[in-house]
Amino acid sequence: MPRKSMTDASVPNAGRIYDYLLGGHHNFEVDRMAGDQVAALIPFISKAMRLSRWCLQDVARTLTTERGFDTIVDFASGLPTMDHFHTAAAPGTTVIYSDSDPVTVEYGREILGDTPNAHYFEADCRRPEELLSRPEVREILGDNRHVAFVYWGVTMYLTDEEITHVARSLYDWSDEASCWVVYLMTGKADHPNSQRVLEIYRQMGEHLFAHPVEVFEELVEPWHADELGYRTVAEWHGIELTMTEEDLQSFDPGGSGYGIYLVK
Amino acid sequence: MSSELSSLSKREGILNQLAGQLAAQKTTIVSELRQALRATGLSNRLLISPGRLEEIAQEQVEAFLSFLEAGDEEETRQRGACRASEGLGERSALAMTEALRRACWTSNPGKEALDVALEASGRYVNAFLEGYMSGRQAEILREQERTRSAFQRAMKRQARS
Repeated sequence: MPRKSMTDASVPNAGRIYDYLLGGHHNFEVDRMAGDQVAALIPFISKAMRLSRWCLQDVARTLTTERGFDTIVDFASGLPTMDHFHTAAAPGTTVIYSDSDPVTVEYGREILGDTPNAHYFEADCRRPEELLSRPEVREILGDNRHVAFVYWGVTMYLTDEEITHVARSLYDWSDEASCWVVYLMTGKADHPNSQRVLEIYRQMGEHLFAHPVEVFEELVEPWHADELGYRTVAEWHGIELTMTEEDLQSFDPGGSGYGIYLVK
Repeated sequence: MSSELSSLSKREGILNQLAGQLAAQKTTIVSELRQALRATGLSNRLLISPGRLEEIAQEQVEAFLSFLEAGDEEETRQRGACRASEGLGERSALAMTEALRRACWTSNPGKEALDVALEASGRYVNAFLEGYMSGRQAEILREQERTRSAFQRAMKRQARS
């Protein structure tokens, strides 16, 4: 959910670096160079990103087949490639994707094509109320306030105040049984290599923020985690992660990220 | 002509026998393939998540056994292309084909049968990797074109506003 637009291909872009580290091809030489710099400092980062991204299919299935949601509103979606919600959600599910970047939105619309009930809008995830009050979105949702919101891997781009605002907006807008699914990237921000990565992003005009679990829990109140709690990506996939000493300098055991179903 | 036919049918016989032998060791082969996939699992992307590795190992062993019996290279190429578009990483693709080839070696088919088995597994690996590489290439070109088109439309929209 980077602030810089992806339309500028002359400077590295956080969204395209993410795509590169995931193994995609929606990136340019300048992004690959920056991505390689990041990966050299934190070799585990590419694995961490893949591990978190792989959860999306499971989130889609769980929300629509186990928890009965027929509407998913996803913020800062990035590219809705074949691993995204619309491919794994139960038939008939309405999926609303959004992103602040115009190129990503165009790209997303092209990928979705005529996929039934899948939509893509330009919107800033810092102000979810703007997406939810768009005439096109209101037309799709009607009076439906029973939705599952998703902020997957976005929180590191948001300040504490922005997270509080998002939490409150979603809480006020949705019904009692709605759900907010979050992937919270943590990590050891004070390690010199992490600091250098933050600096690389700062130079691109992106500011990343680490939100420790206990801080995040307070920021999203009155939302709280359901009975599954804060699950690491390793727990999520039911695998044992092999992490080297070097990996553990910048990441916590378990992959430094938590998937959470927040409920009211 | 008749000696060619006879050698062909002998070869088929050997391959059928080998397929039977490998089918009897299927659990072990699937387990080895699963191990190979797990060891390289983080090179995958998109739909090839850790939760799918077991299923993929099963499917690949089934497909390999079918290939030994039917020798359908085109089907194998398509499978390789499909795995590429699902996001199978290069390291996983190589580890998987290597594990299948090894299964032929270790099945102790005897000298004459081993030659046939290695030739068949070589054809399988080549066809799979050929399909895989062309699938990857097609994916890259598709993504490249989507990028171009998305950029163009976003620029137009920006220019209008």
